[in-house]
Amino acid sequence: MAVTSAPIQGINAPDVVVDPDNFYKATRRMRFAMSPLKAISALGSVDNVQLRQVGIVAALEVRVQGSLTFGGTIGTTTMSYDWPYNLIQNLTLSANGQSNLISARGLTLKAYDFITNPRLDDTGITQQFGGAAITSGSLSLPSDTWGNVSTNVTAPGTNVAATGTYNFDFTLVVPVAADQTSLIGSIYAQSSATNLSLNVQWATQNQIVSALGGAATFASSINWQVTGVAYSIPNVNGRFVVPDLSQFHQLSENRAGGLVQGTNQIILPGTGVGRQLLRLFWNTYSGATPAPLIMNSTNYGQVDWAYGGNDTPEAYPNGTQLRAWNIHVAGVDIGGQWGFGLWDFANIFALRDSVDEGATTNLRLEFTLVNAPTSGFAQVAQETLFAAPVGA
Amino acid sequence: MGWDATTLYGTTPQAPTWGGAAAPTQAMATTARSGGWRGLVDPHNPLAWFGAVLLVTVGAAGLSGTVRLGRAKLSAALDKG
Repeated sequence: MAVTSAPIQGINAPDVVVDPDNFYKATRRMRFAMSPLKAISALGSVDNVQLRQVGIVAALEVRVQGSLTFGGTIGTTTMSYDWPYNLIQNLTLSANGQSNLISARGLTLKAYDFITNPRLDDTGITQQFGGAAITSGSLSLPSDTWGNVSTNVTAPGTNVAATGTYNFDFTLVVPVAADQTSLIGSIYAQSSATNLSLNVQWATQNQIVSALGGAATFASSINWQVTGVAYSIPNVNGRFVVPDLSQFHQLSENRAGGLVQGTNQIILPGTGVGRQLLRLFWNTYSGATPAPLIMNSTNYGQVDWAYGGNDTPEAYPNGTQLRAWNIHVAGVDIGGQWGFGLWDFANIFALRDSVDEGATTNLRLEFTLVNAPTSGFAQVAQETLFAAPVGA
Repeated sequence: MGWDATTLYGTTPQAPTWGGAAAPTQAMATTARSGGWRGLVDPHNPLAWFGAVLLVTVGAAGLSGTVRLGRAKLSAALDKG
């Protein structure tokens, strides 16, 4: 039975009916520029886009392209492991009274895309990583270019071989909805009262270029573009119908510092009643120039997630086994290069496996580091669904 | 049906289900408590009980003070007489 809704997601809406069945049959997918291709303000700055108020917004595609120009004498010039995806140091999306529905680095968004989209595969794509050629686990697509001039490249943890203008181009998907089929978690935008705000914190030069040769010069020309994926609100039998918009989808990332050799317990921030945890994934960095720790038994002892006193529903004795399971679940080697570990509660059967945070106090991620990290920190991302309180 | 968050993800709706099987919207999320001035005296509101206890305590103390003050004045008057 269809039900006439009260204001949706806290936004006063025209008279609409929650009727997923009829919505799916009648809606039209739309793809349009939320923001045209234009230059970023500057490295280290923040750019903001107010998104267009159209339909049901399910995803955003952020394309970043441009060039890095190295001049002078190249010397020892090295790209950091923040290059290329963490050129976006933090992307935040706020909508309908909910701030930071999405708050994540570019790399995390890329990893999420590979984890959740079974059609994506980076196997066989050659990239330079840490100074060596790799053919899997790069989290890059044939359409992604990390920057190259002939055979020279700008690649994570890799020396830049020669001066020149290195062109790059990659696209990140911002998962507004929890899944692109049911559109659970998508945002109601068809109202002048709604407010959709996308902020991007760009990396500084020092964050993407870890070492610049003494006689080398650096310049950048970077553009970005935001494309929205939205669905029209159809009129069926004289009434406007929408899918289930009772939930907000959140992908939120936090940095946990102070890691030590041995067991590390990271209490997840922001958990609470009414929240459903769909995925929990992280990668750990160590070193004066931070480099990701590969998910294997050399770096990781026991890995698990836990709650309460010491309830530990899932655990592996070492990182190698988690990495193997992650390949089974995600279809890509997310731990092999970028060092991601993943606890996935939604890929196989979310209704059964997702974690009700109302019944799991002190929900936490646990992992054992075999070696003492140098200024170690973990970037922990959690994906949740939650019913929002009534908005203003 | 079946294309709602509760069926797909097992999410806990914070709202009472109304109007049958359709998914509730966030705007329907309410507590059992009434709004406005009715909420202040609603027995579901812990503040109502706190207020009641406060009223009894302070009120009784005030009454007691008044009575003692009255007696003191009365006593003084008798002494002068």
